[in-house]
Amino acid sequence: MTNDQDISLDTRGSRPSFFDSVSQDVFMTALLETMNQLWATRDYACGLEKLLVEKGVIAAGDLDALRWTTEEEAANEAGRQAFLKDAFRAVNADFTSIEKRNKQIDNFDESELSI
Amino acid sequence: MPDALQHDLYIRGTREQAAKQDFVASLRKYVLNDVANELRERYETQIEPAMEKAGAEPSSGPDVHSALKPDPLFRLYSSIRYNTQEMVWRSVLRPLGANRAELGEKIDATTRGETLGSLSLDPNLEIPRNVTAIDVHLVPGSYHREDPQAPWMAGAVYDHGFSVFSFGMMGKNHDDIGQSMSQYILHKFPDFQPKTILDVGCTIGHNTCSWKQSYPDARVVGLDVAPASLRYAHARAEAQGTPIDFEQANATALPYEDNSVDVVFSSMFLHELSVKDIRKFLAEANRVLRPGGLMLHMELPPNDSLEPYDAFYLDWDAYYNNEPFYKAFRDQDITALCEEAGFAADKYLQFITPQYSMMSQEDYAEAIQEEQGFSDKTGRFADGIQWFGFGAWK
Repeated sequence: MTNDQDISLDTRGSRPSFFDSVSQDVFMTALLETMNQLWATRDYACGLEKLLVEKGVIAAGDLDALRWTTEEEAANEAGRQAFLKDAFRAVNADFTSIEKRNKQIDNFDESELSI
Repeated sequence: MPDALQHDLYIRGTREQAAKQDFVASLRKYVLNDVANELRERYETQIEPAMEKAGAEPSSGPDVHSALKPDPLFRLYSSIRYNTQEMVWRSVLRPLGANRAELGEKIDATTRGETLGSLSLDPNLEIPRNVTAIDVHLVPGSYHREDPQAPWMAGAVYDHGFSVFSFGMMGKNHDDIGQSMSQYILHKFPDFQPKTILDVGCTIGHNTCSWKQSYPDARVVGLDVAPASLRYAHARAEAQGTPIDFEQANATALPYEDNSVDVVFSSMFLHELSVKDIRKFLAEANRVLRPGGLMLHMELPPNDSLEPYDAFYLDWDAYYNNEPFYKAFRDQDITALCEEAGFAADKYLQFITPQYSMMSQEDYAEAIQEEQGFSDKTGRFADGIQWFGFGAWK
């Protein structure tokens, strides 16, 4: 492991709050960082490399030296874009407020069923 | 994807770090294309018609911004963009911090002994507040970060971060703007043969090198206020075998004699300055240029040239990306600014060019034959971007 703790990562100043509650902004940051970490699958890759080196299948540093071919990189990019489309499938979805939703149930009218 | 950097100072980091950079680059590409297109569609199909129906037709970028602020998609788009901007820098700071010693050795080796170009720093020059007071573009430490262990770190952060930020759109070693601007001038004005070219506010010299490639017989100089960026710029140019002289200087007081240079160029720089300093810089450009010389700035297009939605879209950075001077610059009458600086009205020049590095030389030469007008692609960082240039001949 390398030591990267002695370099400042934080931006000075306050962050804009885009949502009605700051907790939503916090959640968004956590979500995006989680997605990033998920992609990196750090534990899996590190564990796999360790086992392969220990068993003599590859040498230490082989994985870091690996370069994707142009075709492989194109496939990786397509995979990332598909992943993002899945994750943000709700971006332009039709949402209903919980108040309206509650009212629909409280005053349930079978004739208004659209599904 | 960040492998756009093809010089010896590139630090790739571990597989995990590289994978994270790839992800952030993809996320930016996604939000600036797919989500941005959804936002535009939402505005055009729902919000704008509703405003028109209410008799409040939007006539400016701020009108559009006000209408969009409560919209959930605007909030989501903005949140993703803001977070992604932070993630860009975080994704490169970790590998750079961890590989400080290795990169330091490379920089020392590149700049030791006889070099192609030079580096001249001015210890008495005060770095202006537009650089020091805020973390511009949300870069931790801004562009002047002085790291005692790595006095070039701000430049390395910019170079590596820009690689993630631009998701492969800025050409080899991020030189597309310099290539597009210098090649446009070379193609359109073949008799113009400059001997001295200044790139003012050059940061890491990524566009400075392009001018040397377009005009190999000229002396090309990169100027900036931040020594950390210039130290890295010098090593970077040497690593690419490109002779550039880098000098620490402020655009508002260029260290050149009257009538002594042929081109004063800047890229994405004016919008980092106050309007007061822009006026001083343009007057300085006029002073140092020889008669027949060219002042040329690559910039975001002015607000009065754009539809209200496009003006709003570009102004986003002013409000949410630590670009406090960005909107005020884009609100200016740029032809008037040139005239106030001493340039004649009939010597004004402006153009829109496609990206030089994204096509063959033949296709580029053909593409610039026809004058392009402003569109939603002008200056918008997404697929199909076009660059805007303006300035004046002296």
